[in-house]
Amino acid sequence: MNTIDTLPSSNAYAAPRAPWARMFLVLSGLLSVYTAYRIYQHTTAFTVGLDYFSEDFQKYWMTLLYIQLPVLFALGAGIVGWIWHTRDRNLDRLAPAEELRRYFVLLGQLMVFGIIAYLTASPVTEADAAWHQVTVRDTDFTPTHIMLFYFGIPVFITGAVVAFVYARTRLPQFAKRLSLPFALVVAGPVMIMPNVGFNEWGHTFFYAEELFAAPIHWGFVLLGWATFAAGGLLVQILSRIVELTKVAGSHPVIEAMQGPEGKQVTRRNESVKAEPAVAA
Amino acid sequence: MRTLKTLLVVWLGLTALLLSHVPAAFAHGERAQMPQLRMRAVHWIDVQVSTAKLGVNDIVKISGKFMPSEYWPHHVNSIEDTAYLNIGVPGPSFVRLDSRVNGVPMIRSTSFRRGELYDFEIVLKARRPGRYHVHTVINVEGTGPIIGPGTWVEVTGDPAAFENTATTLLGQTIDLENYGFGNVKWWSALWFAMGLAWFVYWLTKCPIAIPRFKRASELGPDADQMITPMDRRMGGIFLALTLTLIAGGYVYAQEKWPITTPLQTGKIDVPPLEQPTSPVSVRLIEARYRIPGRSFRLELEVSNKGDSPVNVGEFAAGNLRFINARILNVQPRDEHDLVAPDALRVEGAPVAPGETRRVVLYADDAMWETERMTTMIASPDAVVAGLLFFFDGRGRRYMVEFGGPMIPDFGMVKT
Amino acid sequence: MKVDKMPLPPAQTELRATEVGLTSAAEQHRAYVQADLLIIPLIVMLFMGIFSFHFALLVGDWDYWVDWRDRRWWPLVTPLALTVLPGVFGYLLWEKLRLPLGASLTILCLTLAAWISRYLNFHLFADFPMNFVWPSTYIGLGLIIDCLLLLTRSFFWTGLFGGFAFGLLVYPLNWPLLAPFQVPVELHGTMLTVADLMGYEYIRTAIPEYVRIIEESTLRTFGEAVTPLTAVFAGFLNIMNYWFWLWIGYLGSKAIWIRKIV
Repeated sequence: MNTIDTLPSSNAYAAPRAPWARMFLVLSGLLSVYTAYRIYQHTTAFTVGLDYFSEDFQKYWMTLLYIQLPVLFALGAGIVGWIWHTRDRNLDRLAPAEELRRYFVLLGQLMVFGIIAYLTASPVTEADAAWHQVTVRDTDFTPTHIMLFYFGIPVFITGAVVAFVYARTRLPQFAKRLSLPFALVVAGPVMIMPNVGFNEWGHTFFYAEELFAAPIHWGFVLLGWATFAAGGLLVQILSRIVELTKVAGSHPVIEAMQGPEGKQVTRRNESVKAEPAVAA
Repeated sequence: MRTLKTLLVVWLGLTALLLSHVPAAFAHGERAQMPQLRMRAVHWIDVQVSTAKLGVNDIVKISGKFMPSEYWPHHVNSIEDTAYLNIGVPGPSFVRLDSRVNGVPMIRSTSFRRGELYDFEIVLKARRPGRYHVHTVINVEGTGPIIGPGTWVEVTGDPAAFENTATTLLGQTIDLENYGFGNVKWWSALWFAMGLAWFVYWLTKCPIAIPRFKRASELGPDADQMITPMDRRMGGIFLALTLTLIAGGYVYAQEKWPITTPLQTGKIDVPPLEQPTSPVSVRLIEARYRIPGRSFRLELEVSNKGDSPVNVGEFAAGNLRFINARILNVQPRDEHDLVAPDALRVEGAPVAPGETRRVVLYADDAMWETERMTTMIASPDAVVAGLLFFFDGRGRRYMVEFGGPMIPDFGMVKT
Repeated sequence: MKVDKMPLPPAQTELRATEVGLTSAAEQHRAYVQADLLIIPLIVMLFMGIFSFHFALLVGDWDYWVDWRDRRWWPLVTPLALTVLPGVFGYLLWEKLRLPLGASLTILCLTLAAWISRYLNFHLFADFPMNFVWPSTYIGLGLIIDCLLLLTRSFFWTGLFGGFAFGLLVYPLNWPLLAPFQVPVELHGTMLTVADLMGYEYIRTAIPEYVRIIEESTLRTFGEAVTPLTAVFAGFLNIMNYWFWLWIGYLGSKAIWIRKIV
């Protein structure tokens, strides 16, 4: 637990490494939960999940809903609260190597977010498509809705908010100013929940068919497009990483004086063996 | 890795433990629909299922009659516009070999007229073992699925033994379970390999993200310098290969399947059955639902223009059947067959020939509650409808639909 | 977790603390590799998720069921929705990294996600045979866009030729996969295609026949030119469509910083 995240900024040097072990632990945990949930859904949806008003449905599906919502909320709030509580209060004294390491942590968190995004937006979403096209819709709480809207989307939101708050509390450029693309990437998943409300209202009052590509679902598409701002976020992250990965010895003042012309840049890069060969 | 394995084992174990108690039954969900819509949509009559137990590849026939209600609500799209005879089963547990209404194949969509009578027959072939609650369904465009009565059907046997073949108009016999899929897999894999090869070519330049971003930012408008002659050669090769494969694939398909037709669609007309004029007519005077007693009270004015006295043998509404045991003997087929064999009390009948008189019916059963028909009091359009089956002295049956407003009785006002 | 720590000469420590992050080219290379190992899977995962979601909700049914792939709507709706991510991320990857991967990689990711989902959800979960629910192939279209971008190094010419070809070639690209499903059969005196027959036999309770948005005959379908007509129209539309989404990609890749939300 005693990681550099929790320590105040210092000039102590550490060769930056991405938090691979912790990332794989989080990913394996997430994959296990999604896999187990999926097996549960696969086994029970077509047996006890077809009739909301049956006792079995209440027992096997509504109980799950009642448990997962507070658990996810508490977990999400707990993680975000912890990240906020352990924030770095001395960001102005942050060493570049440590800052770079934190960028790797952020990228790791975004990768976890990416995997959650994939799992939720593809297999879990299309389980809902497959389900509703072959069964009769009864109430807003169907087995695929319970997994998608009240498990997948909250996890998705948590993943986005965690990375956002981490950046706000640990990385100087994200702490000083607000990254609009990052805010958009977070706002997309968050706004899916109000759109779920619209979706259920619409399915109740004016749209009776189960066409998946129907206009009633296009609000979700629009919110999915919020992730198009991931490009801007990537540019922000990469720009800073480029600065942070400069090698000591190629003096920053000299670098700053060099223009964007190819020849000068190529010459400067001669000292950096890691650069790929670039044709003139 | 060990952590991953442990977590997986724990989760799978918990899931297996939980699932070992899951009953293997496939229920249904029509109880969620608003009761007054269930009562005013389609009346299903004499629905028969040829067998309740069969093996994979065996045939089950569902047959009977239906009558779209005259009291179809105006605020929902009408069955007289576009409708489709369907089956309510969870997924393709059966395949539908034939479905007909008044002898017309129901492959395409159609429309049905309100108040008219239709014969239907659906032939299904069992595909997957399990116990299914099989419903008849009529999907109405813009309204949704109108669900008919359900029957439990148990399928046993080996799912791998399922066979489903067809013969094309070109004389080729095909297995519909896997026809064309080998071809799909081959072409999909080929294109996937092409796309992957292109991706891998660029991955060979790794590390790419930061160095290329840095170079592109530095070069600005001259960033095209980053493209090597080899890159351009690869671009040319991949483009040529892609266009050749698309053209080649198209020519190959035209050669191999020279005769194809577009997807077939379009509505088909179904003439209704000819119905003899009924000598019995009914006017609803009052319908009251007494909530504490789960009792539906109907006050009717019944006219008999026939030659024999008539009595009410059955009152059916929203797939619930209330039977007058003095006239009829109907027993439920299974635990979810919505038949109350002795739940209809009739006062004021029989009605003699030429007579018009007041008849009061009481349909009392817990089914009102268990099938959530009681939520009719929560409807913004508290109008109900139902079908009455009159029987005369010679055993002839006359169906008459009635409908009108419903008044709830909360048991709080003494009458 | 473990953090590599090493002592530094005092003179360098100060410089490092204030100006730069790394001590050697080898360390820099290692940082670059780590960034790749994080960023490439992240991009692949995001493409799989976003594209799958976007495509499911805009084209979905046409791609789920083989009896939806008609001559009029499927080849028109598909390229219009399919061009979105190639445009948006094509701009990002070309403009910021000079990688001609935006179209082919996004579509490759979509294809992978589609096969996984179709197998898990439509085959295993809903129990349809795979030959009824296979995803169409679009990777060739992505390759055309990316190769043209690489060769012309111009969004304008890529849009003009690549965008057009993208719309034009959806049908011929898929024809070797689709053709066997459009062979005619007879059922109870009605002519159907094999795809229609499967749609009839494999019961979909909530997808009645009339829900299909497919070609219906008109008095003005002259000369049986439905497919080429749709293909060319889709191609022309797609030129502008590609340019539009490139512009969205340009907006999306702006590194905008603001002081506060409102």
